[in-house]
Amino acid sequence: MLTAEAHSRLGRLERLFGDPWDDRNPVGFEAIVHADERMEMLEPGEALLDEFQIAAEYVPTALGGRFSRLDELIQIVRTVFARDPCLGLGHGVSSLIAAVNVWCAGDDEQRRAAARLLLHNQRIAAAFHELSHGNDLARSELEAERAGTFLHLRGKKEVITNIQRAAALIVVARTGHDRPGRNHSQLLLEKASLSGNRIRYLSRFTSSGMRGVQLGGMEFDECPVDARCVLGAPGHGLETTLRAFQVTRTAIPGMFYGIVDRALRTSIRYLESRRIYAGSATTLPSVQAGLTDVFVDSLRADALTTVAARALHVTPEAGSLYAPVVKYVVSEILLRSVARLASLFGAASYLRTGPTAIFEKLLRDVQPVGFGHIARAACLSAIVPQLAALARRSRRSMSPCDPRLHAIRGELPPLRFHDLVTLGTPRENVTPVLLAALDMLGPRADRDAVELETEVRALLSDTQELFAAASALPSSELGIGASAATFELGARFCRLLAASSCVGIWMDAAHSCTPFLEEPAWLLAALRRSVDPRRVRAPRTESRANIYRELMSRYHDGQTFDLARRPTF
Amino acid sequence: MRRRDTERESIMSMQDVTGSRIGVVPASARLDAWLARRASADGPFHPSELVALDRTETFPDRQCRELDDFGLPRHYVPAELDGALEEYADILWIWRTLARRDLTVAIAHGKTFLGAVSCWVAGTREQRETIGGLVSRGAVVAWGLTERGHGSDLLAGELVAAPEEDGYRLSGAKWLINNATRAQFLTILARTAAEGGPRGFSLFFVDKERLSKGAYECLPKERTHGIRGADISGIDFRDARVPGASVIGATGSGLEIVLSSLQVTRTLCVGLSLGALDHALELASSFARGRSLYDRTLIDLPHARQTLANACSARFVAEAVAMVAARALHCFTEEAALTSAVCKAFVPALVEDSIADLGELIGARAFLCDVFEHGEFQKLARDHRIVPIFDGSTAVNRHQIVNHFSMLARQAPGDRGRETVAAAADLRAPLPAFDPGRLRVRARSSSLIAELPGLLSRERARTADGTLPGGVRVLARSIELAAMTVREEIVAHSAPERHPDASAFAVAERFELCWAAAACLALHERNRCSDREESRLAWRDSLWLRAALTWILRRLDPDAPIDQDASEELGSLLQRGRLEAELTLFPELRGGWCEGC
Repeated sequence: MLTAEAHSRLGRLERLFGDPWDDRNPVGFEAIVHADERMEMLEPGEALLDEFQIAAEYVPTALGGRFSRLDELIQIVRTVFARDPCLGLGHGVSSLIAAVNVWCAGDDEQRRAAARLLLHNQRIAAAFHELSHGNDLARSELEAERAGTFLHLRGKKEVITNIQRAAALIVVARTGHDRPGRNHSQLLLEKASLSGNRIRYLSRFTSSGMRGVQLGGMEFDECPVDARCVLGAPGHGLETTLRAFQVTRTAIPGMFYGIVDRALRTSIRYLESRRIYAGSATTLPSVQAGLTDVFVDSLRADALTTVAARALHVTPEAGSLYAPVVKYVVSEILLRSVARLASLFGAASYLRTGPTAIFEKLLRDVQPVGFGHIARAACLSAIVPQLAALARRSRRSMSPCDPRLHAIRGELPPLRFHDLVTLGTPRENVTPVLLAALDMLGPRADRDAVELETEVRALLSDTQELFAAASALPSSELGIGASAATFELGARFCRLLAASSCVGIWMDAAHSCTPFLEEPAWLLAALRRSVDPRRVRAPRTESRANIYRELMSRYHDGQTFDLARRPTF
Repeated sequence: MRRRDTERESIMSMQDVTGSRIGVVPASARLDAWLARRASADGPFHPSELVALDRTETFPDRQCRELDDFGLPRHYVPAELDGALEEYADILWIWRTLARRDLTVAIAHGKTFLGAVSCWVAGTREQRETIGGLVSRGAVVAWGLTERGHGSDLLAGELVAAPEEDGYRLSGAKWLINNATRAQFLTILARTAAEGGPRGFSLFFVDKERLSKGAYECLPKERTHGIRGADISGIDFRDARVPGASVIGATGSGLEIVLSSLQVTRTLCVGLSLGALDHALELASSFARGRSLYDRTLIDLPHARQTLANACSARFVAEAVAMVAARALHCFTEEAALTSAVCKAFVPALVEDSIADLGELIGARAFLCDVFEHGEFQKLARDHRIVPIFDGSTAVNRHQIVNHFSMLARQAPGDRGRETVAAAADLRAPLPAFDPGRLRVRARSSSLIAELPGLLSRERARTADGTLPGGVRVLARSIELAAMTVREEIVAHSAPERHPDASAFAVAERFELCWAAAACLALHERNRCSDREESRLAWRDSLWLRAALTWILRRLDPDAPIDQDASEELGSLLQRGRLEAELTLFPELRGGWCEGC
């Protein structure tokens, strides 16, 4: 699934990081936990990432960087999150969010300027957020008023990562008042060009997790900037944001996934060492089940992430659908997984010192995956209006979905940022995958196949029901003011798309004989866990021993728990 | 923006008083009113002050002293020992009231009850009087059970009490002990038989000031995820000589006493969870009422309302479970092993989920420390994570439920438990005195579960004659079917296993939901009367019962028919300006209504 080149970069990053449990390692857990307590970024970690030139990973190869595939970028930053989420967010993601907007909308000069900054390890801050408006970007108040060849900025941006340390920033500013949806523009500003007496930094915002990340704000007081700083067409700022965020909303939860990999790894390490009732805690069936559940969920999360990342390359018009689905499903899985692991830890999860301190930090650091970048509820309201159209297209033509989506070891066309559209007309990829699976399972009479077929049929009928319900929604139910039941349709679709991604990947793995992934066990477990997580399900007898074995062999062999199964510390 | 003042007015009109002691202002309500006066701008219970203590990891000394001045310690001491504790539910509601302001303070102060309870359960008359006097006067007592590396496995305890002339010599350490450093007194579980085992441990009431110099050392305060101001530390004894009279109960019975005491504390600790949920709901609804998004107020968005309504529904369920379980300590004491396990497994986990949902509604402000309401939400979310862990984790309690499966599988439905269930559920019925002698290591029946079919059929009959809204009938039928399924699951898992597998734990979780449904039905049946429905919002049209049963069914069997969704009614009440504080089963246990107390 990764190119040899990406493998070698990942290997280099892992080697630079070294053994996290070595207390002398300046980027080991001991140092990481201490930096967190001081509410500082881990300095040696930042230096290491600069040495690795991580920002080059965000720059397309055409502009001299190393970005060619989103799934590879996710793997790289995921590795950073698995070491220290503060480094992942504070040294990684924030510049990426800003940069993607430039790739989507900037002219050649702006793209080159942004690339130059990143290739020199400079940061670009994404100054979108104002506390009063949250996800409601269209209400942003910071104003950029035209004055000759200048724009005068007034207003403030709040809770912005690295705003003080960045060399440049992208600001969403109001540039009009009377064209709904076209009243804002994005500005790419180099800090050096801002007159110092016209800007003021707000004091730092502190948070309960990600404590090292430098959250700040900036206030502009009639600050003049060159009007050529506008990214793309004036007034198109919100559209650019929506398009660019399809990339980052797809990628970032998959990067946060590193937290679950680390949390799971740390849990096994602790539970294996823990003697309870005269044995290792990992001998308890309930503990094994908890670990297995988290492993299966992490595969579900990565299956959806991987398919969605591939979809942006293969069918960029699908971004408007996949991005909110990924954000909704993966964030839920990550939050619940870490909480579940904490319950296996018991009291040790509550301590900020000692060998499990890193876990306590992960428990706090994972939280922004839920609300950061977009709220989960806002994701649902973005999905719901697309469902009826999806159902219509599904009825009109039912052809197999693009095989490249699920062929995770296959190649990918380049990601064409300019082809991302605010509201695409994606094909419906759930039903064709499920039908293909039924075709594949039909001739088989073994128990696994029969059980899988039952699950797939249930998903299929759920999909049909869902589309019928979505087609019947009145237009009043298509906005943010939709009823809770309508939002639930969105949530159901999210789970179905995630489940079908697992099915698609399993079928491809079966064709390509990928060890473990080709087996039905993980898929069966994954599909059975693709239900509303609030439900307390009736138990069923199922053997998941081989999934647990896989988990433990990955742990002992130092391999990641995701689809890539690559070496890690 | 915060609700406390407005709530005061709206609840003022309340006429009815819950509780067997009509006319007596519940201690929790007096405490609540007293706390409200100390939560003003520079008062010790102002949120900014409490959050600052957390930030600097400072023990809430002043707050605890004030609670002593209020006379709270007397409420930890049974009335027969000149204390003020008549009904154990009082402690539940006192802790809830405290935890609604601050969990750290509640846990730091309330710990003394946990430290002393073994003495109430098993001490001699003399010990109980002495310790009762100490606690009433404000002595801090810690409870030393856990040790490094053993966690909840008390049988593995290594702290040894070696017998010698006139007493014992304690050696070894207890760790992760709340108030181990601050407390003058500790109740310590120590190994008195080299081979250990169920009869190999004894309990000692240790007075640090009477130990010789160098006989003990307090271990450093641990830095924790939440309750950062609390004194979570430990104590290391080095040949510490204690008199023979410091043994509580018979030598060798330490473990049994601890297990009995835990049945009391696990039942009451869920008050901490309820208070945390109150606090979270209060913050989330004030946020939803004040937040403008997309040209509307957040509370006008159905999805946001649903989140609040779900949390209110969850709270109804949790309140019912806690109330019935706490009263059951008096009424069906013999079943407390099961009741307490259900209560402690169920309520903190439910609250944990609800806090997560409400936090999601609040978004970044639930994570940032200095933007919304002093960062109270992020603090309470961190603080509360200790509650599902301590005093027996969720897993430990579920295991305990599983241990009862063979009994539950054998138990036939019937009305043997009808009287006791009625007594536990009827808030006007006087409670028998709590008799610790009736506590058993394992319950031999579950009155509430035996009574469930009867409760369901009576409620259904009441819908037939129009006494109850028709929606209750549909819900009762769905609960009945779900409970039958769970019963079959219990039968299938009833063969005893030393280490039950995950599916047994899942059945335990489903059993908790059935138990909760029974608690709701019993409470509703016994306390529903016309004047209540007029004066109390949640009781009107059986709203809370419908919301609670719907919430339970969503988890047990989402496809079950539920009739109309009661959470929409709850949501619209909130939207129309009713306060979340009114949507509680027991508004009179809160302080707003009693002026001048």
